[in-house]
Amino acid sequence: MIKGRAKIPLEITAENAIRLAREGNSEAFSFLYNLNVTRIYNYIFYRIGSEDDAEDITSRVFYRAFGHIKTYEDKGIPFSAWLYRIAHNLIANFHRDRQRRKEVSLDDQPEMPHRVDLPETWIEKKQEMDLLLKGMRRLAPDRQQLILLKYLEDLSNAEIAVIMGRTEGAIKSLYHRALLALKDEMVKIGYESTENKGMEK
Amino acid sequence: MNNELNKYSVPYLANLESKLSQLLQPVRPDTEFVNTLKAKLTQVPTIVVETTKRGSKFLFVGLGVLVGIAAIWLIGKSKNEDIEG
Repeated sequence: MIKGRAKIPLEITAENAIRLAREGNSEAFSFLYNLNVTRIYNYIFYRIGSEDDAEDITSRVFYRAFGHIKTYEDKGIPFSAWLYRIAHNLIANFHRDRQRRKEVSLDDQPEMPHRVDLPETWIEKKQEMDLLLKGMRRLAPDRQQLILLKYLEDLSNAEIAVIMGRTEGAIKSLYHRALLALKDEMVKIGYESTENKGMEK
Repeated sequence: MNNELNKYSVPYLANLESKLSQLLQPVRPDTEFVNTLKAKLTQVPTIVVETTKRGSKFLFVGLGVLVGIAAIWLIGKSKNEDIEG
């Protein structure tokens, strides 16, 4: 828990927010939270597939981040990269714990994000989404992370490279391998019938 | 790797890429959750420090000592009665 301070006349910006939050400024802390909560929640939600668990892990990410913010070193890497790393580790722990408990796999129960669509297109979309999420969650964690950062966050390879601590070239090649693997997984779970027909034409 | 590339042509992967961008759309977390978490993280907890009165401390210690002495005296007395009886 961050201790509150008397209001500082200084305007909080993305540039000074980390420094101020490290000094214990709760407004700077709120600023960073507002900036990152949705993206971190999205990342976790698509990796896990359950709203409740996504909320739980999102809370833990921010508790951990802001509990350790004084030890955070600003090396010019986006603050979100640090949060993604924490989220990535907590998701790994979550999957490990779930395997130990031998619960029903979420791969068998994908959850569709809430959307407002017309009923007929919704069902079709849901089926596609289910297949896609099933396939994606069978991929290695780093591949899942890359796909989500690329499509949810719309980040470039260079930005993803910074977040994932790799070179841009490595990300490029990982991305290609991730797509091939995803295609393989989706074919295994029944995507080929519709897709292959389309591609043969 | 080359075999893999041949297996899935470029348009084949492009199709998957378009599916990904079409289906993977950001979702909005529950507003109540976002606000509650923010409040928990940023609000300073109110800490109430309870102060104890000195007098009550001495009273408790004194009572403890008295009870102890009484217990020892009672045990000693009952032992003496047993020996005499």
